[in-house]
Amino acid sequence: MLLYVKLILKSLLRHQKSGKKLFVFISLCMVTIIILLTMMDSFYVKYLDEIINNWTSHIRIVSKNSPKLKPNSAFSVEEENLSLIKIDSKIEQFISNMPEVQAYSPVIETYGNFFTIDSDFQGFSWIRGIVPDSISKVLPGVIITEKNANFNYDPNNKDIPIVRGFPTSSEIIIDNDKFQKKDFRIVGDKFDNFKKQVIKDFPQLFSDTNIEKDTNSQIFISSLNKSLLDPNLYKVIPSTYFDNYDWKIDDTITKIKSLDPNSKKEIAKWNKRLYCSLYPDIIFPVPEEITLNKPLTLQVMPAKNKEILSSPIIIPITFVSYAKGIPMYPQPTYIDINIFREYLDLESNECTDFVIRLKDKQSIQIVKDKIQKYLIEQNYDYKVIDFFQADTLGTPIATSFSIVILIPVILLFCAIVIFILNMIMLSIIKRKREIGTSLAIGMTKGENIIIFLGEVFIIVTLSWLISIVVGSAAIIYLANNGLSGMFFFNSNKLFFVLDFKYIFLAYILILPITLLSALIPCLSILKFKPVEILRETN
Amino acid sequence: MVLIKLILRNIFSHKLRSTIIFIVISLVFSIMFLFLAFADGTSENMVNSILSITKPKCDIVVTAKGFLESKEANEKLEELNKMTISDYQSIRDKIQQLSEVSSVYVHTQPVNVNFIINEKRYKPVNFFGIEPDYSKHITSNVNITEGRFFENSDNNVILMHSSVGKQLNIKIGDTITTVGTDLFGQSITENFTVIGFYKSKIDSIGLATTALIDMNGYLMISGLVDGEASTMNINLKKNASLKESLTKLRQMAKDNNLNIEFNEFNIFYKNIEEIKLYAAIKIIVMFLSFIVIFIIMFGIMNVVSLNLKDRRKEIGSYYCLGAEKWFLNIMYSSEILIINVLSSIVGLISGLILRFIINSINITTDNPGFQIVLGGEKLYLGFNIYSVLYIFIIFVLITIITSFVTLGSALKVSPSVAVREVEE
Repeated sequence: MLLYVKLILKSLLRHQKSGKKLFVFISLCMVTIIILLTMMDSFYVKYLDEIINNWTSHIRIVSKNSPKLKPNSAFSVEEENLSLIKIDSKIEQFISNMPEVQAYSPVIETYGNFFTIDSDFQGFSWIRGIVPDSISKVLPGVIITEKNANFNYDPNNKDIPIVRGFPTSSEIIIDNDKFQKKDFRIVGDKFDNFKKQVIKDFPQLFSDTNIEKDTNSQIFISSLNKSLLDPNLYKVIPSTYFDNYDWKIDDTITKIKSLDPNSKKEIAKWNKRLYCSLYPDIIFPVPEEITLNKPLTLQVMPAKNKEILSSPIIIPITFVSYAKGIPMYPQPTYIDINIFREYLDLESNECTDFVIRLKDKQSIQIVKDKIQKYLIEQNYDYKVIDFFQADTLGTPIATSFSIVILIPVILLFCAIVIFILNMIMLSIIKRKREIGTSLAIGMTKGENIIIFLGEVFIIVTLSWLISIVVGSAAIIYLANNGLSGMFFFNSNKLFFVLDFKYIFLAYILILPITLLSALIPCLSILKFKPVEILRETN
Repeated sequence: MVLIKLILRNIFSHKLRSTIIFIVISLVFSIMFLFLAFADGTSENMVNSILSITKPKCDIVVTAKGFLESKEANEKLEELNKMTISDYQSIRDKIQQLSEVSSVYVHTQPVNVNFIINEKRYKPVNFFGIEPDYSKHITSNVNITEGRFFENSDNNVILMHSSVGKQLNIKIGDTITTVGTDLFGQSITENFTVIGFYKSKIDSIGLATTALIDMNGYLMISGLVDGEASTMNINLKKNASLKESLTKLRQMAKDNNLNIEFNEFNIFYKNIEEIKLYAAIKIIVMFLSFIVIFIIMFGIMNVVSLNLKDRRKEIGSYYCLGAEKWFLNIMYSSEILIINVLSSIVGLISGLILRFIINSINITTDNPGFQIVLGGEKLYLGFNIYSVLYIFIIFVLITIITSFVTLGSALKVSPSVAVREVEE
């Protein structure tokens, strides 16, 4: 045994150069395989966690008619009546007494539209009525952007505070406090006429002598933008605009008068609206951006007994914060469930879902079975579903992404096999004389093969040791700082989970593959005849 | 000529080594091709499933003048809906007179309204009107699973997605009542008779909320009048130039004093969210493939360098025969290049064959999550010339880097090596 080790080490030292190359190649492959396998697993685990923490929680109790129980529920056409359940104190007591349960909350899930005070549509959202204090407990992944936001309903306030689902890219409005060329409906001669009209109406704002030569309207637009900052712009509006009453002009001036003259952005935005009110056929309406602490209305459909032409329920609201959930999923808006029940005319124990968060993900099945059994015993026909059933999209997305990562891993294994084959084959050709001599002095062919395989074993093991250090360091770095650009996650980052199983798996998979790959060319040694080899090489 | 002869002789005299490099590159190229074909296939699937009905691919989109500008300026939806093409039938006739135009059809804006069936009221669904000229195009994208397609005499009839039919137990002949507001915010209620159920040829469960209705019914729930349309789509003949056709169409509109504009499809629909998502997935796939190719490149360099080391005697002999270093550089680089290019071509061909086989197997899924990943119900591997070029360029780069890194030291051989009995 010792002799073998000695011979293997000596051989390795003698062929250092090619050994080093093989070592670097296998190390690189191992590090990449470890990182990719960890990435695959981390993605799967973290993505499902993201869904649990932001969207479903661990377990839900739902009505037997709930759309969540339908196959392909993510895209099915849903009835507008809400499928309601009544969670009485007995059920709540039973759930709260379970040692596995960490938190729970009744939830009402529906959808609604937002409108500004001017009745402009401002978007629609998935609405979740929830006990405000429990949101961080049952859905801890939801990021409430305003740290001190409180959406508990206060009867002293007219508007109900709600946390709006984070606006999508198409909902974010920028540049509504300055003019750009795209803000005008007209071009060419018509635009020149408009310019002349504005200069005539507001001569004091367009004193630039070059305005006549302003062929691409840059000077005109920049003068217009300068005028937006003037809190007294409304005072220089020609009196002809007031000959007929226009509520839009009147309302806008009233608003501007109420603004702080130092809040330049607000002044500019409302002055832009003023221009829009003066020239409505030429300037596109200035959209209202989504902002916090502004009075709005929320329209939701009645929860039950809808007539053919039933009117929506109108709720006066104000956004107190934004809630960021999983990208690519709807961003729900959160409202205090108690006031929501009042508006929807529901009883104090009615909800669409009763959401339960567990201390440990592993106990889902046990808790689910226990609750379901209890509900049957109590003659309730409610269903208990876990996060897999509550969300039909997350698992396939996580699985598919894992498969996508697995393909390069398989490719790397293929590359290792072929390169090892080639390298060992070359080594054998190169060392023919050495092998011939060893055979001549009495070493068997099998012993030669063992020495070759021993060398491969040592190289792979050393590569693995190095890849443990490099791979772990990379994974620890990615566990702390995250891999950027992963748009699947709320933070846009995938935080790796260091799992030693993949470090060992890489070794367990690569070692036999490399040994087998090395064995195939080594078998050619069996055909060697010492005399011929020595003659050949001489 | 001598150079080519030598290169080919070298390749064949080291058959085994050349074969190994050849296999590796073919294999890697082929898998990389399939990997990117998957990413391309998902977006192609998306275009051929949901988007084939909601935003059907065409060459040119016709709208009222200023429509696109207003859309990009975030004009209110109700205002945008007012910007319509009037008397589209006569405009269509004028467009069709152009020799470059293959077909023109109206593509309607969806009316998003609730519907009532079996005394239950359901959440809003998108109702698209199918104009007779559009029928030809939509029938190439959808299959009627039950019932029939629209006929010219149809009035207030509806085709629903087959999954909705099963889910809500709707039968042919049932009446569906639509309830909501039209494109201009006016309340509407209208009854439609179910004449059948459809499935997109590359189906997606996402189409569950898309219903197709005849044009008469569409006018009733959209608030538009006869001859009014939001958009028209133009398909050009195969050899027609897009730019020239656009110029001619714009001139035609000017000559006839028509209040319409023409935009390229890709400009009109440049912000399709679904396509952006699949583009982002493709970037991840390209990044992963780049990492793998980089590591494999290191392996290839290793093998080439070892091969050249083993051929020191051969290199020495060339020096003895008076070969210059630049000559050997060209010769060995060309040898590597030929192997790499040939194996890339073989890799591409085998990738194409595998793609054909996988696409023929017709792997489908009902799971909505997998349908999102695949862009439709079917696993489809696409073909994009840019993806092929991407892999080709990477492999050419590998060849250049391999030549630079390995040849420099490998060619530093003394001519005496050739005459030495045994190499060191």
